[in-house]
Amino acid sequence: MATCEIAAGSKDVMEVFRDAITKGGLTDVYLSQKGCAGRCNLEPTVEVVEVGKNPIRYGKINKERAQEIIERHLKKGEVIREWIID
Amino acid sequence: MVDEYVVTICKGTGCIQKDSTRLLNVLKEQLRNDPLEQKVRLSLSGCLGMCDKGPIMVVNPGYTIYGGVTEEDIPEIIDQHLRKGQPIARLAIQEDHLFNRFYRVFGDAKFFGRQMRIALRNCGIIDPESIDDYLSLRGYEALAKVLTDMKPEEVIEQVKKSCLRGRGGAGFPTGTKWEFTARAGEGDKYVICNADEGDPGAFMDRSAIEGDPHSVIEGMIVGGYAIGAKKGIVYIRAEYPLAIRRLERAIADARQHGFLGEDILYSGFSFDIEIRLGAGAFVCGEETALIHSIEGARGMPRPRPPYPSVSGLFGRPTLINNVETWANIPVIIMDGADWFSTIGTEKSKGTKVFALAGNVVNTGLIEVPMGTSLREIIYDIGGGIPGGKAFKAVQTGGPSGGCLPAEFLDTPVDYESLSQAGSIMGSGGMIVMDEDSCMVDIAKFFLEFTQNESCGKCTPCREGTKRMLEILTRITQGQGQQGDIEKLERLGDMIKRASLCGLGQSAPNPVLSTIKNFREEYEEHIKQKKCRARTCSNLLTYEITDDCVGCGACRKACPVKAIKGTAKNKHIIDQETCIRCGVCFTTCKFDAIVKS
Repeated sequence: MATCEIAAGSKDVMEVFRDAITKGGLTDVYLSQKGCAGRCNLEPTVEVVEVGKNPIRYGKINKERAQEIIERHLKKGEVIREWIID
Repeated sequence: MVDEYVVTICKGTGCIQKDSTRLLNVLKEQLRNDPLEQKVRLSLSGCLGMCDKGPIMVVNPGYTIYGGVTEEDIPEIIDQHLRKGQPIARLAIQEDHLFNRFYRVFGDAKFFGRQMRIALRNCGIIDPESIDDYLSLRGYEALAKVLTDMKPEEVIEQVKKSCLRGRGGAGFPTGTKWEFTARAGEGDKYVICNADEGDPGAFMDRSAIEGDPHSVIEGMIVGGYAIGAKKGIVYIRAEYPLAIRRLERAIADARQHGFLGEDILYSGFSFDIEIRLGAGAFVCGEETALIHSIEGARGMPRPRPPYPSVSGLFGRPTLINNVETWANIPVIIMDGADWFSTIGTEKSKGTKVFALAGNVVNTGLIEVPMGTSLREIIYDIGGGIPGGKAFKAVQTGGPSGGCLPAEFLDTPVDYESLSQAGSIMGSGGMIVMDEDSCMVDIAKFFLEFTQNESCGKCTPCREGTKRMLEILTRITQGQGQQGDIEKLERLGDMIKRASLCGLGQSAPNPVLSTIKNFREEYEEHIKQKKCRARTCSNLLTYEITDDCVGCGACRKACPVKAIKGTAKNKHIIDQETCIRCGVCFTTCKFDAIVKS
């Protein structure tokens, strides 16, 4: 959530996750922000960190993709390979 | 990725010498046809800074570090750790370096592979608005160490020993600066953080403050303790609202936790920081102009000496360093000057942050050890030039720097090598240009910027840059004259030597370096009135090809009615009337207009 990420639309994405937690009954998830990791061309980026597992990094996430991450990854544990960045 | 384990092998110079590459191959070989092969990903990392214990292998998740790994250890690592999930205590080493935090979090990162993150160690890792996040990564531990275990002289000695040089661009030895300020007598002294980042396309300082404001604050407090100052000021551009907000928040949090204010950590040392906003004048990044601006005067430079370390803010000794320089300080204190000085080249130690921009696949913010070549930065980290186009030049140092062509791609990035090649390190802007960039136009762009930003105090800069810009504009408009190049060179040389401050002294650099490296392009513009990159629109002719469907869009868009034609028939541009504005070219939806 640095200026570059916000310009790329990270606030909207953050909103989707926040809504899912406050209204959508998504429990057991802690939402946090971070600074710029330097991947300006792939922003907004989202990281899913799960205890005991390697973090998953997604790039170019918009509102729709965020919703899909919630449905598929956070709720069902499915990693969406196509959006992963390395 | 989605793999269960990520095994990272250090590919720093030290570990390569200890055959870390072979280790990777052996591991790969033994995993072949094993069901584990699908679950384990192997990756290489840049120097992990534990060279004495190499070769180093890191297994994530869990961030287990194995040191001194040999070929014979591989089967055990595979069986015990990767198959049964039991880390091997015999090989594990405990290291808690402050830098390269992302390996702890991610375990791997292709993009980060050749990078080494010291100043940006926490950026993208922690929540910048949470002091607890910073504390959890040993934040403010350097401050505690300095206040309890070290005398001010010892701190300065450490910084001197680290050979850290100013990251704002000039590369003055930081420790020496600290020493001068410390020795400049008793009484009030000031510490300033220069966050007036103004180079077009550069955003290193903004990201550093937005991503990890506490590192900068911690560095400043340590600096204040070392030189005996009680007051620090962050001078930051008002155009960085988010950075300012996070910095304010961080300062307030630090105060609340007792890291700022009276009697810090019950040591008897008091120090506080306030923020001053710059109004956006580029020249205020120059230290004496910046000090004038804080004093409430007009932001104009003054001759040096006296240097700010003797007579700075309000005539008092002042220590002024760049954001990135400050962010390096906690690492030097915690990981040690000896360690720090092993990174980089002989005369340039540590790392440098660059804002990679322009015609490059991975635009973004990177931090590499000094001595990394431009080629490695542009191709290995930056991913090369998009669209299969050819590399033409790289511009470092923003409006004060120069353009380097392909033959300089193997130049190592350090202060001396870059200036020898005809550019400068600068604050970290790095703009990559492909074959479609016109070098005359680029030079004009940067000169336009410095000309606008010239404060007007000294004649060479005020008048000289104006005249140079006039000549350049003429050349790009097809009115270049024989002798223009020589005139530019003479003027440029004069401005460099006679200007008062860094702005004027470096303003001709983009022009002089492009003349030096791309002289033939200037000559083409002047003699043949030709722009090979097809950028200078006044030198182009526009023509309509047979692809024209006769939609009439260009005819309607043309401001001088130079396009004739009837519906559904091919249109024609009247070259006499055409003013070469290029509107038709951008309007056409059928790519039926060509520039030549």
